[in-house]
Amino acid sequence: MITVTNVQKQYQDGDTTVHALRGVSLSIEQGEFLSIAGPSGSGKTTLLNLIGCIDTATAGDITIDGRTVAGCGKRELAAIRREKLGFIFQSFNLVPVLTAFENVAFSLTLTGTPDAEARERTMAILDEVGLAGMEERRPSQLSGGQQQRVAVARALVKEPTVVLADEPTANLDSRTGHAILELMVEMNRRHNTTFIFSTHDQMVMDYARRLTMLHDGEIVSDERRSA
Amino acid sequence: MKAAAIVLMALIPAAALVAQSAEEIITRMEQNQVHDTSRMEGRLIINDRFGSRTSSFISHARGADDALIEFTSAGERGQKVLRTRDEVYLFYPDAAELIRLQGAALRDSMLGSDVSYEDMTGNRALLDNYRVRLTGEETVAGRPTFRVELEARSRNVAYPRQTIWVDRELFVMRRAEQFSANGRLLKEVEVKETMEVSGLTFPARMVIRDVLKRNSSTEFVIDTAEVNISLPRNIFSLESLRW
Amino acid sequence: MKFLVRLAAKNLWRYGRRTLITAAAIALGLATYVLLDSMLVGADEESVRNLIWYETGSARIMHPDYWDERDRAPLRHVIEDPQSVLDAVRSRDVAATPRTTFSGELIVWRDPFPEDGSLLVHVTAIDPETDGRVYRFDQWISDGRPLQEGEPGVILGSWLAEDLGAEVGYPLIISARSRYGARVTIDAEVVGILNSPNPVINRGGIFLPLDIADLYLDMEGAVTQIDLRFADYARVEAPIAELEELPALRDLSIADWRLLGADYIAMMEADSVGSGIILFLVFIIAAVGVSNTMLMTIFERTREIGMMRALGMDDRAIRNLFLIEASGIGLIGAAAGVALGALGNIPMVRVGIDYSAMFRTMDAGYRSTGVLYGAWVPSTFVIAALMGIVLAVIVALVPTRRALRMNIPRALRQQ
Ligand SMILES: Nc1ncnc2c1ncn2[C@@H]1O[C@H](COP(=O)(O)OP(=O)(O)OP(=O)(O)O)[C@@H](O)[C@H]1O
Ligand SMILES: [Mg+2]
Repeated sequence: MITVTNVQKQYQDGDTTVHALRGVSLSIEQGEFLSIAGPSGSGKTTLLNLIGCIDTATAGDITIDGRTVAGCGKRELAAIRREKLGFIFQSFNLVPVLTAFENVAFSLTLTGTPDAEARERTMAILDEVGLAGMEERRPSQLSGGQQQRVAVARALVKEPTVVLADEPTANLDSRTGHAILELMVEMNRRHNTTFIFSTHDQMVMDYARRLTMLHDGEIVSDERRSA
Repeated sequence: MKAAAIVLMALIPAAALVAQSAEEIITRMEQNQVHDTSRMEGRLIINDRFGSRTSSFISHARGADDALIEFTSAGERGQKVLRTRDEVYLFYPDAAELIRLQGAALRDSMLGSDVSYEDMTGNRALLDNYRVRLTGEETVAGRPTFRVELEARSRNVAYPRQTIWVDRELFVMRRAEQFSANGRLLKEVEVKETMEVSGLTFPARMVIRDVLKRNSSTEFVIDTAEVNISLPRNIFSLESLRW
Repeated sequence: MKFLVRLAAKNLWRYGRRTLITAAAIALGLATYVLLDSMLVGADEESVRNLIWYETGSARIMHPDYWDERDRAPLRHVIEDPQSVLDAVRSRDVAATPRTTFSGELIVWRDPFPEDGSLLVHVTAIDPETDGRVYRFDQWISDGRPLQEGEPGVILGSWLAEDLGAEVGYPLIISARSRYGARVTIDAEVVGILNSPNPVINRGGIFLPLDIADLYLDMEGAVTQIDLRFADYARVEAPIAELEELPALRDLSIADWRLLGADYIAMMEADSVGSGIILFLVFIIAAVGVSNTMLMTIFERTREIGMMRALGMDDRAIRNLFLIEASGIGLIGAAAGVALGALGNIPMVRVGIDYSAMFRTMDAGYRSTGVLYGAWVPSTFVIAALMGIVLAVIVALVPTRRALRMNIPRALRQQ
């Protein structure tokens, strides 16, 4: 489904070149629930950004649903993100002026889904993430956990190939964090959506069914666990 | 009745004689004052509210028409005015510029004096421009004079009326008054001194007053004069302005 | 697109304070622009009116050779038979009055005047009976009374009178040349002082009855000009074309106020370049102010832009969203600015700005004294409104493009 082949990423920081990823290869199947873990600076965010098509690799290739990302133009990348990828951000990143409903519907609007259908799917997913009755609230009227639930709904509503989450619980207290992870597990189970999330929190790693450890830009271990 | 007719007949030639003599008086005056040729040195003293200033000049003249005046005093050294029969030219040495005066510009005052360029052209050959009439005999500045009134023959004469007092013995102008069409006195000329050269008597010091502009006067003084001399050829030509 | 407009509207509403501050900056700029323009146009309009009503009329009939020598106001090239011209012109319902302008010297003597003096002047001889059909002096005689036929009286412009120390009843002499060149003097008395809205007239105007000038200057009925006023005083092409057909005017020429006041018009045009520059500066100042707030507004939303891009929104759609928002701000600012400008313009038009003291010594060339009134110029309001919107969009374009050029992870990191 998603293949990462010998991907390298270097950042130019003044005179020094930072090797954020030094040749990472990874193959991710449909429906996996994968955690990319590692100490700070190990390259987790960098890897997620590359898979998420919001940054480009210095070398190597990534394919998503058989599509090669390298060499894609801005607009093609935007289309891939729009249609195949869902994002959950550490700091939620909802559109502040839109209601919960509108924030979720926003992803569908971008894909050009007809209004009626969008409405139905949005209501359904909000219900699933446990926000029934809060559709008309704006982000400022929701708790952090609720906001992140909206973000999960927004990522899932368009039925993406993969949902990418960079430290999705870092801004939440541990109880709420657990709840969000439970939700993600549940969604993964129910929709068979691939989840890739990064963390350096051992507790969060425990939810993963596959744990890929990065260290200094390289994969140091990659293990699958049964649920 | 017959006696009356005789008296009348006697009077007519007498009146004619008087009229004729007014013209004669002017003619004799002009014979004195207008020279075949002349060279004079003199001064123009201008008094106005800014004070008094003097410009000295050398003039050459031929008859009533041609004159060349060259200023020699410091302020206007080298400035020249050339008058020919119909035209007046100015030459400014600083700018090496030659200006022909026409129309209204002729009415400008010369060096800020009470004399306009036009006055310089207009004052000659009086009998061409005026009908004259003897209107009395008066004493002016202690001299017996004829009083002659002049009236312009046409409407384009600058001073439609003048009165001139001519010395009865020397036939030189003693005083003149110039009037506007409607009779207002515009200018006064007083001859303070006369000069005799080669048997011709002419004014040597005149005070000219523009009556409309009070407290200003221009004194015209001739210090030395030679008349009926031979003048350089072409002196009254434009080339001569640029020596 | 509909979605973008709705989202933009929501953003504007949600960020109300920011919207208002930016819109207020635009509104202020536009109101300034509108008022300034009103003032400049008002000054121009008034100047034209004052030029025509007091100085040139709508047009002037002259001898064809007069024009080239007009500076010396010669009496050589005249209209010999003004009556036939007047009759012909009036038969076309055009107001007409004969005038003679001549140059001369104004002579005043100490007692009653404060001192002796003389002044080179142009004197305008007017027909007291018909001059008011073309010009509007009578209501501006601040002292004394209008001229009367057959009476050697003069009316002096108020500033000239003040400079000379003249008062009604003072005698003076005008020294001039007759039509044929003979020296003439006119003994006259000041009968009135004219304090018109035209500074050129106030500074140099000397008026005399036409019949007196005719007598003294030996004009024998001739005049130098016949001045006209058309129904619509500034519109001259059609009426002049019509008059030029008249047989009585065959050997004469007509000059309109634009030509007669050419120096002034030229200055006004040079001036309109100046006002253009002033208005441009207002625009620039507004643009700088607005672009600053706009820059902040958009900069603060960098992360939001990054998020929308991550979700796969097209860069172009994002740019459109921000431009729609900007034009919304522009629209609000334009509406407020135009309203503010209109409100401010009401007193400008009704009451005006008094600056009488200023023009006395300053030869600005504006044919105007006293009070400057604004003008209603609908096009300015439209232009201002459009400008506000365009301005907002232009200043939004730059920071939006910058945010879109940033790479997405960096935009997402921005606080
Ligand atoms: N834009 C950048 N410019 C320069 N260096 C960068 C940039 N982004 C990341 N790096 C560097 O690349 C390396 C990998 O960073 P990355 O953010 O992927 O690590 P991470 O594992 O996500 O760390 P953390 O747990 O702190 O989020 C680090 O050394 C980091 O300093
Ligand atoms: Mg990270």
